[in-house]
Amino acid sequence: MDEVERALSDFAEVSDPTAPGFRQNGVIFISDGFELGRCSGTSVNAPNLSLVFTAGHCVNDGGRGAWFNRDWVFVPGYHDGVRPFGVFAAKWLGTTEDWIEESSPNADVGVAVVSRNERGRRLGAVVGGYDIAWNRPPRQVFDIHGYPAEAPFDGAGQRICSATPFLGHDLASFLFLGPLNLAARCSVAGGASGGAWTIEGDTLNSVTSYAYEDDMTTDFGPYFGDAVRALYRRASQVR
Amino acid sequence: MRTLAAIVGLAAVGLACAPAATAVAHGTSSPRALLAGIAQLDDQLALLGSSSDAGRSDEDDLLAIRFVNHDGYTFRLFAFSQTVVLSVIRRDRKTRPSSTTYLARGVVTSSSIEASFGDRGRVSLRFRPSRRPARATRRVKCTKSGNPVAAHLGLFVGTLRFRGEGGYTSAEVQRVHGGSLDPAAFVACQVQAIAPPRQGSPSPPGRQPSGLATLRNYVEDFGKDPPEIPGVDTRPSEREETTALIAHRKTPLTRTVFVALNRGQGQARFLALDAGVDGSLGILRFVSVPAPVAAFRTEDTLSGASVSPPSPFSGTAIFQHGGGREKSFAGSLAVSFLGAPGVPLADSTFETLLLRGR
Repeated sequence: MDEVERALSDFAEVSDPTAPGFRQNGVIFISDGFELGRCSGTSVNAPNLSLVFTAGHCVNDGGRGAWFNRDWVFVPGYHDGVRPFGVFAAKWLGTTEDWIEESSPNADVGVAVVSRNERGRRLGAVVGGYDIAWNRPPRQVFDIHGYPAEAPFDGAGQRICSATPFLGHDLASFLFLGPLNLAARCSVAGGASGGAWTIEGDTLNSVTSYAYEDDMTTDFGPYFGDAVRALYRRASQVR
Repeated sequence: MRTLAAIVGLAAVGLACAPAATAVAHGTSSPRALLAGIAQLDDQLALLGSSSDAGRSDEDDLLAIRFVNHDGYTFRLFAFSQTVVLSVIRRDRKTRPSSTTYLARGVVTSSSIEASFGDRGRVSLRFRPSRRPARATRRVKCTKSGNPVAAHLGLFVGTLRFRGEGGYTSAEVQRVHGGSLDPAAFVACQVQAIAPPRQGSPSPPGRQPSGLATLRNYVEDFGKDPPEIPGVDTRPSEREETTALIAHRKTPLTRTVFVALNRGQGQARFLALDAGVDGSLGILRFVSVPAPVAAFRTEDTLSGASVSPPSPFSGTAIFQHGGGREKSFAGSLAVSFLGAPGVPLADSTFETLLLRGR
């Protein structure tokens, strides 16, 4: 099995991204006015029924960089150009202080509060949401979701690395602010950023942050601790 | 817009780190000596594509300690934000440094360090600064206003306890000299005085004590051999060729690098680095050793090479580059890092390059 085949089977295609349990995940399309980008994101349960969790670098350039608040939309259940549940545009973006201040990969978590879709419905009412957990032991077994768009993937569908265990921490993580991040095996590619790491089936516990160019089979995500709890609570208060 | 980050580029790093590995700080605890340790760590982290500046804002003080243990090992510790870095260094000779660096999460304030190194030890120290801060008063190129305090020297009191793997060293100190440094002030400004003069009168007002470089210059010049003088080489063809063999192995959370260098200066140099994570402890091991040129032989066509580096390396290895993409690096070559003896360096899991250039 060559590298391409291994990646495609490792980050396996979800047969029906609109099915319950998968429809909470979607693609984030971003424009900063000059270029288009895309990330992955996930609807998370909250009283305002409007939270999308993703990577910090999918909402803010980091290090006091720009917010991607020009055009930022979330398309849950996306597949093959189809928007089965509509499009949800961001009306508020947030991230952690350590991402803003230092571009710390340990704090690469972002959140959006989205407006209603074209039919006037709230995100949570349409697709539901995952629960979210923080301050759990890092040694978890994750399902990693996402929409990788760079080769060998094409971004057309949702993918999942199933039951991939915590491998350890990245050595570089020791040098940045925030709790040590998490590593898990998953053959990611560009576009997978912000994809959900779920535990216990439907509980968000990290998001895809980065991989090394010379080893795209190891995915790194931030540990969800107090900073994420604070971010969740802040975003939940946005109406 | 950032996509998945590409943080490490291993292929280019081996050559960059080579000269710095020969430089080791000497002397007592002065900001300069303490920062020398940081510079060395920077060089090692360069192999990983990171920097000790990461996670440290301009406002953060950097607490630093350096002492020589009773068994001859040099201990360097520096701490900033949430990161505590302890380096244990052995120098068989001036040019043969071996070090193992441990990175731990900790709680660091401007006056205290708390960190656990697991079963290897812990640090719980409070800083008592002396009454004489070192101020950055010379305003040449100083981008910080006023007379910022660049460093306090002083005493750390509490416990620093450490036992290396297999007991290769152990230390326990309750009082140790060190300092609290403002790296930004060092970088931004000339520092007038960083330690009380050992003898004679204080330096004349407004004059920088001789021999003191700015931190920036010092770090930039650190270990360069020979010192880099601004200028343009108009006869590059007369420069000596450098031949390098670089072998590296990557697993999800570890990297091992072996570098053999021949700069045509009548001496070869061998380096090895192993970086990884053990639980909640990052560990970075490094050795560098000079050797006779004969220890690193290469064929003119770069189709083959052999290495037989001296201790702390052992064994030999042969690199062969056949037709097409077939390459092999095999043999009994191994290295004994501080705390990790007999780490193999030549087998099919290593990717190997043999390069030559000016």
